[in-house]
Amino acid sequence: MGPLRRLGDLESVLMQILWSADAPATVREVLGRMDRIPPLAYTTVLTVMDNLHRKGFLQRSRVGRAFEYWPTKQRAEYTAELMEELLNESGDRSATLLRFAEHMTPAELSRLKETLGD
Amino acid sequence: MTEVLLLVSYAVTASILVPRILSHSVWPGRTPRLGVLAWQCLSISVMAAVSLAGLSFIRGPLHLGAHVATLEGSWASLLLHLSERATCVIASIVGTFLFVAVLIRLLFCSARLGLERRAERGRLVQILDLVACRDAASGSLVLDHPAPFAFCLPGAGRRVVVTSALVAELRPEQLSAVFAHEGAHLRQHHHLVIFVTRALCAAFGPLAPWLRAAEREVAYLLELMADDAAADAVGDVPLREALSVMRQMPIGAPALAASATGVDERLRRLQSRSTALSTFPATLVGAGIFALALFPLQLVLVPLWPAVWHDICFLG
Repeated sequence: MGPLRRLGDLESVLMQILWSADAPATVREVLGRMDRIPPLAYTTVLTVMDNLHRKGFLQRSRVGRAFEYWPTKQRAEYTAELMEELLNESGDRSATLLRFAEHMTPAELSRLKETLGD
Repeated sequence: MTEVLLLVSYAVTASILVPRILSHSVWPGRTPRLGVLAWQCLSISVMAAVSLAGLSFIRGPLHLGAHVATLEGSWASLLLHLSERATCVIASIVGTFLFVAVLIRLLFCSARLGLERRAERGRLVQILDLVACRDAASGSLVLDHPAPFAFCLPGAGRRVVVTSALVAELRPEQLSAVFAHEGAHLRQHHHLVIFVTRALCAAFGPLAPWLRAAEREVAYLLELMADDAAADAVGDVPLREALSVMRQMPIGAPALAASATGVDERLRRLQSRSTALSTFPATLVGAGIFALALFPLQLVLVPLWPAVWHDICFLG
């Protein structure tokens, strides 16, 4: 709990706003789309969006005095890449994932069904 | 010298016989905890035996020096003396190298694996926190994806992750079984056990191929332990149903698929719900495991016992 956790949630909220936006947005515009009561400080949102840019999740370009931000990849792209990586995991992967069950290709499934006489 | 031979022959025999025995035994499936312990003890004791053989190699030749001093002066004895000294030095170097190499190789591989893993996990967690939705009720993360999948990310900031497709396919109690299974992995810190097997594999895999078999077996036994914990928590019927549903859903993506035997065996095991080993046999097996694991250490310490005993008698 506390500021750190809120920051993490805020990153998530901001990405959500930018993913559903159809054009690059400035900090001011993003702040306008948030319905937090009381509203967040400009500097807070600016800091978090800057962090997201630093981590590579947002791109930005200068428009006048401010920056316009847009997401590097769409949410579905991240999900698809993540799942692809996890499904193709070989035994040597360094991050431990304990999966619930192994999955089969359709060919293996039909072969299994044959042997089980399903 | 006999110690070196005993330790080396122990290492060789154990690494040939014990993996085969363990793979074909029934009791690891019935009491997976003991099975995991057995595999881990085997790996560590074989490694210790090789390392201690190196240590004994240093000590052994040093005894030879004592005998040489009794020979009277002559060319033959001088040559013998020199050659035995040379053997001493070479043996000491080889022994030290062996002893140190085993430990350093393991430390190095463990450190590298640990760092890689932490970096990888940090990256995954970062993306997951942004991309997945948190389900307040179960505390899990839900990824919007058409393929049914469930996994846990261990370590600091532990998370259970499921896909939206899985949530759609399973009934609430079946989903609870999946959460219980993954939660058990996290609670029992299975990732630490896997880390040990992977580190040993990375360090000595090329020299000892049975370590890879050990890694696979341990991973499977850990799944059984999570299955048992989930069955205890939510009942085995929802878990079996969840496993059956998962088994029947192929993934269209070009996924590397392991064979389906793992899931089938787990289903069969849950169906028969064979009881774990009762206390007495379990204790026996546990004692056997520890005796086997400590055998190399005993071999090294045994020559010291007479010396210790002698000192005690002398003092008395």
